[in-house]
Amino acid sequence: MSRRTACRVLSGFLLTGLVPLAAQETRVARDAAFVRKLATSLNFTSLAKSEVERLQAVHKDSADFKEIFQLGIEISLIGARSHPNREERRTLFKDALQQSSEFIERYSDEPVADRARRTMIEACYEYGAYLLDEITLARDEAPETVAELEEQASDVYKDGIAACQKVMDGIGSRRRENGSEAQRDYYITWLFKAMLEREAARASTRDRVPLSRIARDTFEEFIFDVGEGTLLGLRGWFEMSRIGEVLGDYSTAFDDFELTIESIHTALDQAAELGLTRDTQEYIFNLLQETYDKAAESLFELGDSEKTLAFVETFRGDLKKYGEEGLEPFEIAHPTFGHPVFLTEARALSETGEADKVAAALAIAEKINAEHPNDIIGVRAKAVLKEILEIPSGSVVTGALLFEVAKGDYQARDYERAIRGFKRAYGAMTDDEKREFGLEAWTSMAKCFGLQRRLLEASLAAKYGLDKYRDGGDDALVTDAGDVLDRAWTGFLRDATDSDYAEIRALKDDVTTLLADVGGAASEAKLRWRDGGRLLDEKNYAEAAQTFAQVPAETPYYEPAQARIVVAWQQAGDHAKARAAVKAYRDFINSPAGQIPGDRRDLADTRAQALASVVFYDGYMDYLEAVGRVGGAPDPTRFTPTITKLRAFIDTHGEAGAGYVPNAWDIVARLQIELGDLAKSEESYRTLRNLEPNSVLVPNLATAVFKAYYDAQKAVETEYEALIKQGADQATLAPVIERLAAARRQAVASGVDYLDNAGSRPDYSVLFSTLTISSDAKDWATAERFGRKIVEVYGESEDQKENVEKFVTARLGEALLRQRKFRDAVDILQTAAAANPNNYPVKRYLSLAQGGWFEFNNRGGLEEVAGMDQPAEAYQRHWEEYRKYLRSRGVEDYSLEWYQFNCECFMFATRAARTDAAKGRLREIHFNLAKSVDEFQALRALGPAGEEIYQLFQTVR
Amino acid sequence: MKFPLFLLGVLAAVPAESLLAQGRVQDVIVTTSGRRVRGVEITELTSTTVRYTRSGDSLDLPANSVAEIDWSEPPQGFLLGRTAARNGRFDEAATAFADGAKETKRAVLQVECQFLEADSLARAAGTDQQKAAFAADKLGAWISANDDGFRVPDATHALGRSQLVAGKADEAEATFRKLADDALAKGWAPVWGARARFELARALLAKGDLTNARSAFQQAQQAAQSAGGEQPSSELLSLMAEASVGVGETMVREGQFDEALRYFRDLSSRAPNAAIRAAARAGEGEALYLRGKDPVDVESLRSAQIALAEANLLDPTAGEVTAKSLYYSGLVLIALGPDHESSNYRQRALDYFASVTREYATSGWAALAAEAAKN
Repeated sequence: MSRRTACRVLSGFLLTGLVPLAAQETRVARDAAFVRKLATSLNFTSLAKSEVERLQAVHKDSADFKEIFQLGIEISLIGARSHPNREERRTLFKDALQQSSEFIERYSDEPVADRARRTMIEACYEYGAYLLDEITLARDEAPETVAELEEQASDVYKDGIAACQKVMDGIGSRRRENGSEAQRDYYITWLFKAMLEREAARASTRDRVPLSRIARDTFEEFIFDVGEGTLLGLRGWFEMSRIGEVLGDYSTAFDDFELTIESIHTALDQAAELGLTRDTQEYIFNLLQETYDKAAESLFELGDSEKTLAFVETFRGDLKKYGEEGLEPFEIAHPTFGHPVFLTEARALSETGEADKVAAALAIAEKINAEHPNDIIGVRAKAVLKEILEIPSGSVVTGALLFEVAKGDYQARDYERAIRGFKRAYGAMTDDEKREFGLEAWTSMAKCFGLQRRLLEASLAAKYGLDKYRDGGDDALVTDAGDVLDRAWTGFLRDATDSDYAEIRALKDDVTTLLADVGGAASEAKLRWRDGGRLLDEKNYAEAAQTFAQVPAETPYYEPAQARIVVAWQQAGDHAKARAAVKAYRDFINSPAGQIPGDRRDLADTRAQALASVVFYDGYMDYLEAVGRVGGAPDPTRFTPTITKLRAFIDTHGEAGAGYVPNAWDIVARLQIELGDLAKSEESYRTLRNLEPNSVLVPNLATAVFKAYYDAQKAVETEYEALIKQGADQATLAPVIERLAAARRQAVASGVDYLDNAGSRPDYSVLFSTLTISSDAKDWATAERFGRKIVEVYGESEDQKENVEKFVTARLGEALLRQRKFRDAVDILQTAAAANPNNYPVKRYLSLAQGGWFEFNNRGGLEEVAGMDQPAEAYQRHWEEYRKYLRSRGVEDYSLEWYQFNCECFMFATRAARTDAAKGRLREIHFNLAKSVDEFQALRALGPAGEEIYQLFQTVR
Repeated sequence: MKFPLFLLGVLAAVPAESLLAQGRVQDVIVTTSGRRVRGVEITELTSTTVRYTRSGDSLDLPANSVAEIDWSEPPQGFLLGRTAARNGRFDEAATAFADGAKETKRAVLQVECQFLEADSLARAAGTDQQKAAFAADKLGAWISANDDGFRVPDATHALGRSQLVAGKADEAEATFRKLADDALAKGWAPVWGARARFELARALLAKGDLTNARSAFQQAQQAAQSAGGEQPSSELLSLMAEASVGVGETMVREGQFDEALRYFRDLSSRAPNAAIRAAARAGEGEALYLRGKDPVDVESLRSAQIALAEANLLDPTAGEVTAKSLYYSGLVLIALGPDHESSNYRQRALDYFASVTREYATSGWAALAAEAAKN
């Protein structure tokens, strides 16, 4: 993915080169440097963000505020690059872009805006690269999303290109100031513009060729202007060569890369003569490796494995020639620019299908994987390993390696795939490998089955592993396997309520004997652990905490027990004791007694899980206290710090504490709702939903998010109604109307999202609320969808049937008739009216569907809607039945509802009068009633709805 | 920073046209040995030969050495169909592949999409006779239009299966016999012969011709053993296992449960490899379930649970036997019901069925699991 590495190389020019020398002396600059280091070198992005928020608060009234704000945007971008979670990366990229846009808009003419533009340019390039990766994945996993992703990527690149042009326009006049910052920035931005145009071509299947042409023109102009012999000119040639790969023309791309390599050779060979500094030589050497990377890839795509392998040998030669003496090529190669070449070599080797070459490929890919545990090159290496492992040459791939791959699937929670992998791994193991890994393989398989709630399979798998490998096995692994068997078998017996049969009894005897042998009841630590667990289940929290406290320190159960002490006291509601337990455990970890030997990965894993549990509960207690759930008033000042804490938990402990991550996201979302940050809460909800689609937290949180949107629109609605009552003028009402419309749209969107993910029985109140809001918003298609859904799910349910008939049918009927689906509307409304003759809202809409109406279209013109063209019947029902209903409800004369009734009668009468002159008199009656003695003034004082009715009276007449 | 000037090597101005050439076709052929042939454009696919061009040269490979093809920039319909098929949504896949056939301008890809459409219809039919008959017609039409196509063996195989589901066992038998004969005569991959014989045995079983079905299963087992050689593939191991189990299934069909159980237990103890042992345990589980489901015999059902769980565990191919074990494990839970299982038994059963439809979508058990989940 050297798209991103290219950006980072150039970003060194963009981000760091602009800080004026004087500013580097200031406290703010030092703080900013520290925060950047937190994010880049130490990967503590959440902490960096918190620090930025703190600095923003400190400097909010100072001139440095803008610098700090801009720093926050940079940190979002840095966080976006490195976050392990895909969904979270998307959110962070969007945050960085949005913040940049807002910042630029606010300070557009100030010098600080240019810095934001440069960050935005980088963000566009990086986010675009991320979206291109998503498109590649989506082609395989979700092709229906490809078109939308391509559009998103296009938009991002367009924004980036526009930002480049703006920067260039701003400093274009200074591009000839040789050696100046402005000149450098100008050319770098120009190069970025060309690169963005090229990537925009890559993102668009339809317009790839013309967009590539535009990119090429930009590159050519740039190279000509900057000088083809310059450093940037060389870079430009390399980046332009990549147009070939965008077009799938790998042959031309390879030729161009070769030419670039030749130029670089010349530069390096004449470095002394040309007086190139060490930094410049290093830059060019890295560019050489990057070019080899893309060239090797192009050659590989052309399908010639032999040529590719020969080309990589040439690369090795260049590394030795230009790199540090005495080192091997792999050691000389730059980890980011050079290692990918060897990955391509691995792919070429593996695709020969020859056993010795495939083995060599494996070794290379494993080496690179080990060197790159967390970055994108590591991801590529893992992908190559997976490709190799799919080759059906069984003798090449070891059982041990297959076992590692299966563990990866287990950690990624793809349990069925992991089980398949463990089976394959075990089948491929030699006897020695079985002795070393067999027990762990079967125990891992048992855990996967357990997590799928297949407890009999889990028991049998754990038993199988112990039967075969407990003698001579590692104590900790044997204990772990025993635990798994114990839990699985207990769970199976709990599920199989009636299990007293011969085969089950025989199995039970085997399991009991086995557990006794591997340290069942005899083990004190295990006894305390189990007793503590039982007491926790029985809600004897204090006793559970005391029991866990008795687990001996030198046993594998000690640290999990310390975590359980925290849980027990928290469940007991004694946060003080729980926090004391948190502190005690942290102190233990940092003490000499808490040191874990380097070869005890099992203890390290156990600690990671225990610590994750403790950190989560610490944050959970903060949450409960902050929202006032444990006595005391809610403390909103704690919401943001608690969010930060839980986000830090997810970042740092999310892998080991995966079981708590959904709860953490749930809490974060709920606190964001409390803070009124509904958009963020929705993002958090989506992250939770993608993580654990079947979790019970998902529908509950969906409801909470929806309710927040509902409450928000309700608040604006209340505000609007109050203004109407006060007789506010149009100028005052207009912004409120706009806000109300936006709030309704958001609430409806939230309701739609809820329904799309709700499963077979969505919540009635959410459906009904969305129905009413979408009706209020005149989103009739959505109202119809929700009305029909309610009828489908709840139409026959005992508890809701009456509500459906009373309230939902009428609204569904209205939604249909407003979409001119009169026949459908009449069918539904007539059925409902026949079932419940006292349902007058239904009758009102039935009249409208039959009798038609008049309304104003988007251009303000009057439109007549004929309905079923039965205005006389409609009038009769309205006058005889609906009027009585209004009276019985106490609807007052000259209220909005009264005017609406009269207007509808007026419209029916108007239409009926065309065939029955007598109806003309009725028309006049209703008109005069509404006009009354005040010439409609009371009507017009009822706000926009009243004004609209007034206009109808006037225009129709 | 000053930009140093230095002499360049000759950087030829690359003609604009070559850089701006239309996107190249870059298919990838994956061979049965795992080798990949990249940067090719496939020009013709027959049942014996795959022809392609690379860097202007015309080349070919024997069809029986090609495992799959990675098409270059396939149409959206193909991508959607592929994803839907992977997730067991075969109705959707059929529609999408049909769209893909219209979207692409490449004749070879058109034919491929048309085959995949027909194949998806067959898989979507499940146990529905009418749908299976429709799918069979579609497959038959495809075979007639492409009588020497690369996918003819697959299409013939799918045709026979569809005919079986459609209740046309005689036609299915004839189709599978033809498949076996053609595999030999035309030099198709040996696995086709083994598959054909296995399916023939199933067709005879469906017809109720149990004696001939038994010997057909034995022949299928032998065919799979010969095709596999020293290191049989997962699929051939699976076929061997299922063919062995097929003999026992003829007894189950006759209602001879005790005899079937004896057969499976004996097979399990003498089986030469883990795949057959696992298949035998799965067969045992199936027989115990069928014996114990109605009227409910809890002891048989509990024994079935253990046998099926072990079969899942021991299946090294993680294929048909695992799918079958999961399917029957779900049915066992339903049969045990609330009287003998905790209240979440139904959800656990649905989870089993969902695993089959999601993770083993191409197995014969996926359709049955989907049906069971609905009921």
